[in-house]
Amino acid sequence: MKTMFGQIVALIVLALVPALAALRWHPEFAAALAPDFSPANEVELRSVEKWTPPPLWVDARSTAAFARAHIPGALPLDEQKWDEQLPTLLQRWQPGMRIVVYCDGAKCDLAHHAARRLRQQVGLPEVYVLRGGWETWTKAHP
Amino acid sequence: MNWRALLIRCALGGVFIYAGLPKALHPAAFLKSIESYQLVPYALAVLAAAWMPYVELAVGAACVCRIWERGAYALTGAMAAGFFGLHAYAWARGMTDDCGCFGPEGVWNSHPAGLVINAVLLAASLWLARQKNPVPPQQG
Repeated sequence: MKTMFGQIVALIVLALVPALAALRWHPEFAAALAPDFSPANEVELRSVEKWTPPPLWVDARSTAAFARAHIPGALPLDEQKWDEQLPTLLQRWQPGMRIVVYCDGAKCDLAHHAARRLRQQVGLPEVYVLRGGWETWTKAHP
Repeated sequence: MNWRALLIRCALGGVFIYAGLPKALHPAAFLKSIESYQLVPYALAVLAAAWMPYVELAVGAACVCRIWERGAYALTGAMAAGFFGLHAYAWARGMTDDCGCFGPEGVWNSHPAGLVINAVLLAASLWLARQKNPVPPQQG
């Protein structure tokens, strides 16, 4: 038993060496580890509502939550249905258009996840996260 | 020479090497797959995307080369059980994304296929572990 645990640890530690090397030198990780989506990319609702033209709203909550209610004109982008829902978003998006992603509230990470993927994987330039998310919207538009 | 054990050992190791290699070469696609499960924070997803492929390669090579066999079978079994659980979770939630299990171009990347493959891998790991550590006959 002791030998088995030793072997498990040895195999896992052995794998760590090339993993650390990949994190340091693999070009795909350089992009993934680029400066994170910072709070500076979060926007306040009152600022967004003054934008002209208005942004493209993207709802990163679950598809069920989106079906119940969402910001008017918003498009769903549930990470579990990413490949299915992304093409519609790309059809609607036009160069120069700003995107604002939201999820449930200040504590949810879905909007940051989606915004990061839209920037890093899809290459969209202006993607923001609505501070306070859906909670903020519903308070402002009861 | 136990030909059946040799065949199963090489097949088990081969599947892990076949799964690990494309993920090690294309970690961004694997990272995307991990993120789609939304189970871990981004930093952990990055660490898993970097580490997991090399663990798969290491255990695959250990199985084929008969190095640290007990540990390798324990790890292949644990990983197969874990992957089985993840596929079941994803399938139950209606997730349609490619699992990325065999790299971005993998042919067995659907969740139902993943459930079957991992059940077979788990059975193979348990069988090989049993061969390596036979249960002693009970004293009468």
